[in-house]
Amino acid sequence: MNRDGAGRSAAPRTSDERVPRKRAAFEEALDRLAEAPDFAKARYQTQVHRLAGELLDSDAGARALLELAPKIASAGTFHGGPWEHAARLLPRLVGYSLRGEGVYPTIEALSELRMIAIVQGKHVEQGVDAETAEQFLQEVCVENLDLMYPENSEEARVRPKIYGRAERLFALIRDHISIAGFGGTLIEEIESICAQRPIVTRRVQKLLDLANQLPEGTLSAKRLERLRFFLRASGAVTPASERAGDERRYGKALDSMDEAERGEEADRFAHSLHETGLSSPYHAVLVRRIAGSAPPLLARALGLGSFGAACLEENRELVRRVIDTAIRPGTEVGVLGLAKTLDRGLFSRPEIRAGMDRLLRVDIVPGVERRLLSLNRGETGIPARAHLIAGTVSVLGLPLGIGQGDNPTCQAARGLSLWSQHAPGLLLKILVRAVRDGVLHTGFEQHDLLIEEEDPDALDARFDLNLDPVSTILVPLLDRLYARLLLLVQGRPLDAHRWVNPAMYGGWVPVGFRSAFDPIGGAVVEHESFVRLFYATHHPRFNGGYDLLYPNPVGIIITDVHGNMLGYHAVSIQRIAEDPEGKTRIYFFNPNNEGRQRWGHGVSPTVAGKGEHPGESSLPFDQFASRLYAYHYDRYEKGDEGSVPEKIVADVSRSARESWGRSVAWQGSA
Amino acid sequence: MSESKRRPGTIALLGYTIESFEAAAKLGYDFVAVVPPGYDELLAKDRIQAVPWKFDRINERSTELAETLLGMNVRLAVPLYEETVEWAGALNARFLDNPRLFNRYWALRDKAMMKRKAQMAGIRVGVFEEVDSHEQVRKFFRRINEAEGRIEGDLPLGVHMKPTTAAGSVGHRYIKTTQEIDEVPVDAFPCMVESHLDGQEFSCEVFVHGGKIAFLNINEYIHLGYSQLLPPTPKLEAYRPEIRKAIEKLIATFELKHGILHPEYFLDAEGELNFGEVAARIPGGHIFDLIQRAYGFDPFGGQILCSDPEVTEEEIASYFPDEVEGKKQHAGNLLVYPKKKRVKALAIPPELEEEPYYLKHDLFEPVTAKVEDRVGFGNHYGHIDFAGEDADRLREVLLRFEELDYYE
Repeated sequence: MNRDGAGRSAAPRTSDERVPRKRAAFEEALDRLAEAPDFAKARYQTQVHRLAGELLDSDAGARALLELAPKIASAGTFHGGPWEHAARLLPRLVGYSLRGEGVYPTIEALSELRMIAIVQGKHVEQGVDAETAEQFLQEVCVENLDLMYPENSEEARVRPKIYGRAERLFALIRDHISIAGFGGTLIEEIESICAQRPIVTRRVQKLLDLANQLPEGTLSAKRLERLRFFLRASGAVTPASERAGDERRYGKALDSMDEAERGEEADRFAHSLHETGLSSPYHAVLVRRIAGSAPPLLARALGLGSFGAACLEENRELVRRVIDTAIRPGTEVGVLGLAKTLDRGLFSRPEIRAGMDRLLRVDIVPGVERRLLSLNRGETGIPARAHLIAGTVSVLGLPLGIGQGDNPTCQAARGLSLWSQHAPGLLLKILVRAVRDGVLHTGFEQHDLLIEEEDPDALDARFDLNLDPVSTILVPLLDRLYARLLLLVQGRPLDAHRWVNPAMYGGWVPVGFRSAFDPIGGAVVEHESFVRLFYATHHPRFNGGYDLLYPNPVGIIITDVHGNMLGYHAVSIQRIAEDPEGKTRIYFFNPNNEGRQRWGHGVSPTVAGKGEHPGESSLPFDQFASRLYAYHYDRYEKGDEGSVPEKIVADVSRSARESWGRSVAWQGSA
Repeated sequence: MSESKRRPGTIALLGYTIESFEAAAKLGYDFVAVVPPGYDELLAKDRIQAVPWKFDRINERSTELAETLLGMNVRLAVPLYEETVEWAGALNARFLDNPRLFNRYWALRDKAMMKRKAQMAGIRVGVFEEVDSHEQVRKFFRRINEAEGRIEGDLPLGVHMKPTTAAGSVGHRYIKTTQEIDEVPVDAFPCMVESHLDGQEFSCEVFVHGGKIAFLNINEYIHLGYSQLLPPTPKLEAYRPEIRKAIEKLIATFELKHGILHPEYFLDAEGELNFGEVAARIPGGHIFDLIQRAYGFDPFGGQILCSDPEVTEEEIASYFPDEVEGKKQHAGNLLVYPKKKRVKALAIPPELEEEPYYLKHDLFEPVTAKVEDRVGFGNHYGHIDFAGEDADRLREVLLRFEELDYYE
């Protein structure tokens, strides 16, 4: 693949002297398009799109297109297609189109040029003013930093024309929007992601790399300081580590430090770790060096609270073994995981100690070992067990940091998160079995279910395994268990999750179950009663004081920014409480890697600022209820349904009906 | 052309062809588009009157369509592609109160019936037969080869197999061996088989109004389905009078009063014309675009005007130019099919843009890497337009660029 890589990475260019001729041909095609009646636009669009594509092959051509952008937009270039209404476009989708096939990248690029024209005040489009257009383009930049500052990815090598055109487009965007604003957005993006404490931090690292390349002077002093703090967090946090230059020399430097100096190092690393959620390989070196020393220093280095420090004191030997096996440069993510696991007091539970002990000892089956080693990504020398143990403490310490990656496996990710929170012993039991025996073994009613390791090729084809180590091992098995369970309950008279969820997640999932859909006809039935029961079982004002005992695995309907239904999704309600402003909110776990979403009609989950714990998303109670379609409840613990005001129920029901309800059949009271 | 003149009543355009919609609007027609379901919504957005209709085999529901259209004040139906021809026949039989019209149109749809009718009128055609089994194809193949005096060991003479009612070359097979007969799937039957005709192949695009030729275009195939030009090179142009006579005979045979004909002929080495087949629809291969480029009038509008009995002879005469004197230039095109099995990207050879006869192309970046198998000549990846003063030079240019690959 790389044989001819160097030669091909340069985008082919239309030599600039041809541009005037091409521009003339383009303008002629544009005139014909402009004259055509609406129903005939399609006949003339193709030629405009094609010639625009050729112009995008040179810098001068791209500039010519920008000059013509107002005319391109008003002539009908976007008529009748997905780009017709500028106000309805989503910055998030731009990157997909620009990397798309056929004519889509060209039309997408023209649409961005239209936005630039709006920013310049040269073009007017309904619903998009200059400020909105600029925000749109800034978001496009943030979402597509890799197109803006292209790296030598394999994909860019294979498709030089597409990447060349995108790079030219972003150069134009950059010239016309405020980079300072963009830099700020980038830092906010980094902070927002970190606030969710994801276990896998690859995306944030990528954003940090890009922020590091921002031209000088684009960030305010305060933001620059913040960026530097985040940049240091995954590298040389302290002056001493910076001076040392690499991890080996830093280890030596630590040897020559006195207790006070080491304490200083420990505090700085701990502060950085807990402030950003990012781990540093130097921190791993420090933790290794002091693993054998007095517990108070180790507790400082891990930034433990008093509960965590006590747990450490009690389990010194286990902690030492974990550090010895798994805390090292390359698996430094385990530092945060270990700290959080100790703060949860988990090592003081006998089933966790036993589980950890097994994981530290058992032989790893080849399939699992291969997947763990693949996490090394070219770096060699980190044993499979180091990944396994670092991953295990990460999942135990950061239950809400688990993400589904690029896979449609929200059920499995939610399961791991639920177990880590409420059945960590069970999680370790499942994990040990998968690691040692390569199987997932469970029962459902009279069935004995045995799921075995898949063929590696089949697995690679089915999954994006860029996940945390535990997910890498368990998600493929859990995904198949979920599919088997769905098959087994097929044809039963209620929604499958009524049986599947307790079977999958555990007996603490309440048996009471309510779905908005009629499982036979598929229509929404008695939605108001569905909402009323949800309030009477979940809302603190109406549920008779029976607060949530365990997270509730519920089904929601994801909608786009326009409120249109996109599909079904599994999340879990973590807790229901009043936010700092006294408003009742539902705090939930979204395994979708990114808790910040825009679901239309003003429904936008937040991840910080409304009393969220790291990794939680939240919405006001009524807004969450309007996107809900299935939940569990305890039939013995509920309030009086009659006490829920009709207006609340009617408002929630209307909001549901006016968003996703438009895409499904809906019966009952209007 | 202006929209000044409004015409009485409404016409129905059968099929989804934007060019025809645009032409109808320009000519001042109120029209209803009768289109496959789904397209009607698209058109409704652009405020075009549209009726959704599935144009499969004609059936008792055609009355339903006729009633709907009559309710919309429709007085005439114009077919835009092959499958809609018999529907136009059925509808016009009703609208114009002439029950024979349906059978006349149907004769233009069924290839076997069309050949027989032509043969009965004394038009030269190849030998053909309607078949419904492998055995019958084998017999036909054997008889053709016996008639030509082929014996065991000679390279057999091929025969063509085609569905009786598909457009152009869709579903066409060229059978060269008995083994290939066995490979024909059962669902290909019934169909027709015919002997192979040699010679220069060309098509005509005949605009007929009041039973007379309003305009005759001759389109010269360089390689059928790949490259063509019009008006033709001098060698074929010399036969225009004979071709005109043949066309007049064809019009009389098929009793066509209003509309267009798109027949195909072979000119053999002795200068004799052999009739291949004829359709009453807009030709494929962007031939109408070439006519517009060569003569400067809009053939899509020409088809609608000719289909309309209410249009006067004067309007027809002023719409169409003289087919020899009215020529502005020669226009040709090349339909491009990737030469590789897998294509990665578009790669236009630089010499194309240097060629003075080159006009434009509509080749796009490929969406899927795999090259589709050809069905008829419909799914080319795009085409390249050329035009110039000299027909022979244009032919030479087309041949040269046909050799090149436009994808990598």
